[in-house]
Amino acid sequence: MASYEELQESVITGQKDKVEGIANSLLDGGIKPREIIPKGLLPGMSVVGQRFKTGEMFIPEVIASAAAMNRGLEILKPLIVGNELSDMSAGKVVIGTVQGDVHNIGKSLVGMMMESGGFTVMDIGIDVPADKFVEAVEEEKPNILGLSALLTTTIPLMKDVIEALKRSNLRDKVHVMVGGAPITQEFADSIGADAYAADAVSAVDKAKQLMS
Amino acid sequence: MVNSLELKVLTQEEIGTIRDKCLEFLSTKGVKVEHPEVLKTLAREGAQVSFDDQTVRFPKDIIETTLRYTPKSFSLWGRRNYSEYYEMAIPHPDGLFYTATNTGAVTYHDIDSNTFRDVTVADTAEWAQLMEVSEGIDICAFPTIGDVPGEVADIYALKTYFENTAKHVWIQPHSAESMGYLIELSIAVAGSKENLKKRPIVSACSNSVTPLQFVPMEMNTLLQCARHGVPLYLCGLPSTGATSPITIAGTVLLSAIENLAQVVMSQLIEPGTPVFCGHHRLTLDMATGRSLLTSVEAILGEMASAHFIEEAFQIPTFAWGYGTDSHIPDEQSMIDGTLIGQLVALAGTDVLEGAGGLDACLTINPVQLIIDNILAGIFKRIKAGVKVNDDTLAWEEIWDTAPGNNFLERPHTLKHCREALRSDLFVRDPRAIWVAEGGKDMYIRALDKYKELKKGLRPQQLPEDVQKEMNQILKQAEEHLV
Repeated sequence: MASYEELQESVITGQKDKVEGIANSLLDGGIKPREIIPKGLLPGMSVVGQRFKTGEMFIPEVIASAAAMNRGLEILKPLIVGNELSDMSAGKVVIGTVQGDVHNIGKSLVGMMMESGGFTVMDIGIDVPADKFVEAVEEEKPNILGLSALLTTTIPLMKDVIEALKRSNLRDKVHVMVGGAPITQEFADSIGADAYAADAVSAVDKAKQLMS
Repeated sequence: MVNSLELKVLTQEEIGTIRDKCLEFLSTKGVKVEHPEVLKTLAREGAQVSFDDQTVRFPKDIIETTLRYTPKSFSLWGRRNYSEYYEMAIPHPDGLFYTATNTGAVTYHDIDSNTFRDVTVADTAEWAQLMEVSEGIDICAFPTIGDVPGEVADIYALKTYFENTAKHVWIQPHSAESMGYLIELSIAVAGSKENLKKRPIVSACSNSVTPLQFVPMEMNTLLQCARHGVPLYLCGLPSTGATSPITIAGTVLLSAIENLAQVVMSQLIEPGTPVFCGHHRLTLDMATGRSLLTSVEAILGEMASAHFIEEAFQIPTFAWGYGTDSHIPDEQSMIDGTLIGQLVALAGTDVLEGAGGLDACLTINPVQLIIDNILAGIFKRIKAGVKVNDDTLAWEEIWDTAPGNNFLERPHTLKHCREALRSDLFVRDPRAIWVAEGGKDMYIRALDKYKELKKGLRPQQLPEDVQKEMNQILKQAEEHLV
């Protein structure tokens, strides 16, 4: 039977097929899926996160690792019953790019790193109007709402989302995180966001701080 | 045009290959255009339009025909005061280039407090006045003002520019809704629609959403500018490995396809619309995810694209020619700025933009503008190359003087002794004098110059009726948009 170390290494090196094979091998060996995820997949991604933070791993390599981890999750998640899955989650995140802005890459990268950090992520896409964010918060009840914008012209719309949450009496029910190239801590403070992250790795750290 | 220095980045065979692939892509795969009115116009003019998925394919014969009538030369206009116009012929008649400032910065690096903050209306006014007295700056692009409502920030910026500089203005519209007001302001200053078309005092940027998507706001800009004869910077935002292929050549190809699609659309909408081709090219740093403006690969890409467009389509070009990934004016900003400007200028770019910018164009700093103004002069001098004629060969001077003796007393030396580029920001004095004058480094000397210039800065004197009209336009915009 394969080992957790091999599974971790396959995640780190981004080998999807190998992750699938090892996950199945561990299942065949009688290991429970709720043990394989925290002992094999997530520790592998944790190493990836650390190596990305120190500049040892590059973004495409991180994406390959995340894809490998997701291949494992696709096999294991359906086998987990009851509340075990949500109990394992570090928290729920809804993330999207604000209205008028169709930039996807940075937002997706943050979502991916959040998933790697153990969060359950719901990506609601690009060019998202304020009322759609409100709707998602109402329905999904996330712990964190992530707002992304790349254009200098669309960052003011982040404030609109926060105002819309206030009007719907949802502002105190969700942490709001903002990010994107033109965003600064000062801007985040000025619109009343709970956190700002300058890159995808620090976004995970900030999210964990918000959850603690 | 005189022979200026040119770097040939690509071979003729490479240019031919890229050109063929551009036409192949646009005629078979096509681009996405999210603007019903533009789609209808393109369909009427012979493009193959699928209204269901907003895909537009351009038959090769339409592309070739359109390229033939796309202007190869035109003019931008500035003013020395409200009514005295001057022409900036594109391409530059001496084979040189024009310099534009940084567009869209959201952050102002405050010199006094050494802090980073939002750009204010007051900063924008001073920035415009500083450009007015900077002889190396030809085109004034505006920042994103943070102390007014976002919906009208671009309208405030243009109005503030008209009130503080008479130079040509580069418009970066923030929304489809504001574009009409920006045109109205331009007409107010130009005097009439006809005047604006005849002597455009503004030009504007229309972007693609790379790769190959054209969203309503940007198509609206293209549409309105084409109709008003406002020259367009046709632009995209390729970031290698993210929004464009990771290779330089792949990004050059994608940029060329985008530019060609934009050119064809602009000409089908309004034949003869003056356009520049270029891109706000970045490379994604694979370790940090930050988009870089002055990486070596980004610079090479800018050079290759400018060379390609000039050779393959003969359309004027623009590119980042100033700027840095550094957050402050420092050693890196000096290296970045010198490399990108020199190389992009030598590759034949017609408008070098980004003067005064830091942090991959997100921040502006007045001291950096002072330094870039000096760089503009250096780039132009080098680009002008070496003139060789009877006078410059100085055959008689050499014959009459040598062997031995010197040339200091020769009339020929007297005649030419003031031609050398001599920047007051560079140290020319012996060390003892430099030390006696404070032993200042480059940044401090530029800071001193900024402080000195600041004392003489003043706004433009606009006719009362023009000022009143601009105020009224802003008021209407605030009522409708905010």
